[in-house]
Amino acid sequence: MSKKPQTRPWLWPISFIGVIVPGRMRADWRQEWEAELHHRAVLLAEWDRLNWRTKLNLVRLSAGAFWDALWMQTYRWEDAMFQDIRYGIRMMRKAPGFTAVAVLALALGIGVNTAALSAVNGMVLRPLAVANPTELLSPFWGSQKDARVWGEFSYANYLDLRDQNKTFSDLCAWRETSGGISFGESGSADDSQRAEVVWGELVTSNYFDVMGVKPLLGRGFLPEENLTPSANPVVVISQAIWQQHFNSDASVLGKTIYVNGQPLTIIGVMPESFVGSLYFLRHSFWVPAMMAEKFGRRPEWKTDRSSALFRLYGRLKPGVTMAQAETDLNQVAAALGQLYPKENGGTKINITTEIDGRFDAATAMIQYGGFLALCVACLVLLLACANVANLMLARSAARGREIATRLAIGAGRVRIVRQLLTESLLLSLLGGIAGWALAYWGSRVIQASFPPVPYPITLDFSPDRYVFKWMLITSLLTSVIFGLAPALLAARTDLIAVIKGAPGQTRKRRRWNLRSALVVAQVTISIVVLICAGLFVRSLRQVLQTDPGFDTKNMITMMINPRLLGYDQKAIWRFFPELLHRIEMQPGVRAAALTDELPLQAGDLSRGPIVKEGEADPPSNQGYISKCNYVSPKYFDAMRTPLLLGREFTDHDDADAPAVVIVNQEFARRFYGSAANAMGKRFRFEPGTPFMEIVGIAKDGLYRSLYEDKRPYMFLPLYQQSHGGVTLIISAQSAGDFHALAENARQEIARMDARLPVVGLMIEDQNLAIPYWGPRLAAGMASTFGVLALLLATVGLYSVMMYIVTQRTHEIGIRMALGATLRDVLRLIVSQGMRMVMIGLILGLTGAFALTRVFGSLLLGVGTTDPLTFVGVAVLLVVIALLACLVPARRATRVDPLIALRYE
Amino acid sequence: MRKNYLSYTMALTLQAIENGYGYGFDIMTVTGLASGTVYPALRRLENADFVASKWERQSIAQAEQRPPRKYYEVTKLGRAALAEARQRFRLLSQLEPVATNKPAKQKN
Repeated sequence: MSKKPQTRPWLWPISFIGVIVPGRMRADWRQEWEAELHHRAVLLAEWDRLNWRTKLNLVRLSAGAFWDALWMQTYRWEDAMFQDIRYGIRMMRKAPGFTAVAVLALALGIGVNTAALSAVNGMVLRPLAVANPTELLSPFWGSQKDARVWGEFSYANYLDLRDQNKTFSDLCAWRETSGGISFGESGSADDSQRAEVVWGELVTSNYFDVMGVKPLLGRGFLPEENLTPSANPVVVISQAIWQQHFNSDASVLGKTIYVNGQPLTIIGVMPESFVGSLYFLRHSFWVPAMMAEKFGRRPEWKTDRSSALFRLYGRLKPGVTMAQAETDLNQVAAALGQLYPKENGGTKINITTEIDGRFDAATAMIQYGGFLALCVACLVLLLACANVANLMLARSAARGREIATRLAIGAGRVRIVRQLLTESLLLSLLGGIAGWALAYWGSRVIQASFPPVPYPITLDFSPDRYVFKWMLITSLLTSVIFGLAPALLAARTDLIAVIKGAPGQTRKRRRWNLRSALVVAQVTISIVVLICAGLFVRSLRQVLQTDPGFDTKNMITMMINPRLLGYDQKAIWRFFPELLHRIEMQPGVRAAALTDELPLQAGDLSRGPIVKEGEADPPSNQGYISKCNYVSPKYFDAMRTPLLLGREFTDHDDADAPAVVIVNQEFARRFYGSAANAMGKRFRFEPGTPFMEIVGIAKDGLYRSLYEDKRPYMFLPLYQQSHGGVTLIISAQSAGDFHALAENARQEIARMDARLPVVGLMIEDQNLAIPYWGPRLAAGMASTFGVLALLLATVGLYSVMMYIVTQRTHEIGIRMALGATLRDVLRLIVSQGMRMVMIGLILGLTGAFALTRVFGSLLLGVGTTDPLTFVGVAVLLVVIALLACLVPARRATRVDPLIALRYE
Repeated sequence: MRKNYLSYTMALTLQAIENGYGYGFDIMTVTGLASGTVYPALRRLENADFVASKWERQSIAQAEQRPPRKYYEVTKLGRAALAEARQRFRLLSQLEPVATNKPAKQKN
């Protein structure tokens, strides 16, 4: 058999992995694996099946050798590794101070990393508790003009997509909704019957199959239960509801609960782990989509293609790629666009995974900020590594004689390096464990910082197994990063010099260079981290000073929703004005108003296109859609938002009166040139909607996000729109007992309808807790990182300066004997330290200058090159560095030349 | 874990050797276990003296211009342990023995 030389990549892992097999078995081990792989390759070649696929398979097989090699580690009990570990533990106990400082530095570094990752994990990465969560795809709908679309689907469009696509094995639709859930016959005024507000979902019958979850009890929905509107009042409840209200009784199936006053028959119970379609919200019930009218949807919801209510989840057929599926759905969408040009013209579909679909263009910032936090945390870890590396260097210098002795009696240099690396591994593992505890505590702090919200949020920031794995890998990597260079240097000890009696002084120049490089690196990194911190803190100050266009002073808010009790629209329109009048009669109330949503909360209402009177309708999906809000009379008074022109809505602006609207300055400027010009003008939305007269111009404010630019905004009268859930705003006459005022309002509501639940009481600044949370968390985390960075850099600089002074004691003694003054010595030492600091300072400022551009969009009102931050951080660092140099320098001046020279 | 207790993986590996599959890779093929599972199992079995390993004669290997392979045999102790394990894992007896001298991998 003539053989031509060929590459055998499957043999590479064997020689590579073999390194960790205990030495005395290595040859045998390698030979066995190589022989087996060789034999298999020969056999495959004989059957002409040695193609790339089987080659790859061979490589995979050979990777299994790793586990084999790992298992063989148990043979090392009497082998070198365990000697190393035992010895390492002894050495650590002999130098408790060094061990404590090193472990602490590593714990801080690993801890902040792990805490940051836990937060990112809880927010962004943790998958839904469904079967194969990564395969769950989420299509979005929108205009072709946009690069990426994030819109929802109308039910009619969903049905067409579901039936006409060729790439999805199944596609379901869902819509979250809130509901007042009660367990007895509604209608009684008994206080104990007060409904509980929970979140649920309107879903298609295939929903649970697509999600891949099985009910704990009972069943999911049948296809026939989702065919006729309101015909099948069935419900699947969550395990929490089952436990709390039915005592986990298995006979719950067939019982009735009341949601929004509507009796529903329980057919199934979902397990605790399944929270629903939205990863952050705990849902309590699921009903067929056909029940939508009972949850406040207009009867046309099913057929109206412009009423985009539903989001979709689907799973692909085997072997289909996401790109193919997207093309396929877009073909269906194009066909729908031709059939229904008015609603579907010019639209397209994007498909993302469920995880990628969590953050749309507006909230991508959260994701972005999370990863930025991780990057900064990594910098802090690097800083800790540099610090410990420096400590290790100092330590191996102190151990020069020990190492030289070991070398002299025959230890190999590899063995010495391994010994030192084992010690750093032990250190980093200890640091990892302490860091884990720190991260656990840190994630608690982050969790506690989350503002109170009237929703059942399920975000869990505590570290899980995924985070644990990351922590372990980080610890191992860390030990190599900080341990390798000192270990390699230590093993190069100049034997003869040491034995001759100059311990630790050998190759001094070289070692000094690495040490100062490490100090420069520390200063550089800490400057970058500090500047990030400074920018975020400045940005937070700016946020707190920004005028959001309303004032929360003396303001109390709470949420009610009469529709949860089955009120129809007429009853609601009677209920609201009556409620406001009653509240305003109460002592201490300055003004009361209702709004669909408070500004800067999660809501995102919009209407459009804007069609000015006398202008033609724009082509479908092309007009300007404006953000808007629905508000009651006295809203602007209660929010303390100035009206520049015109009037507030009144009780007379109801469904029977001519349609009116209040717009903001930016709206008036964009569409009519000026506020004065806009007053009295009329516009409407899509054809068929009434023309609305502009009766007031409100001062510009912030509506959706603190970071937004000025944007057109409309206020529509609540009494002219179909609405159920509102926020009640009470503006008190003066600061006082807000809780008493809130309780009065609560009682007034109870007097009108005792069953009506009141949730989400917020007082004054609490109304801003959600929008301020992001900037606060960013500033808090960034300044924690900053303080840690400064601390680590200071300790690093200090320890190096101490070391230098010790090394130069002899030289200083000579200098002083020759007539150097104290000032000369001081200057000598301080200038040596500050030289390193200055190099680090320049590098750090340059680095920060380049890096901060990346997160400009996360900063508010602060440029990424904010001079105050840059100068401030530089000055702070120089002052602290000066202190860190001065203390060792003063020690140098106390050198007694006599003692220093005695040994000569 | 008791030293002599056979896990299912180990019992399966032992049974495969008993059936005449003497090489690590053959065992993987016939049992369907991954390489990262079979080898540690073999090491444990060898540790417990249930199997003994031998190197192929150098002359055979040299004739075929390849490194000699290591093959495993069940010891007496191993046979007893296997008999005990077969009581617990009934499916073991369904593992088929080597029919011919041809390597079992042809089923691959």
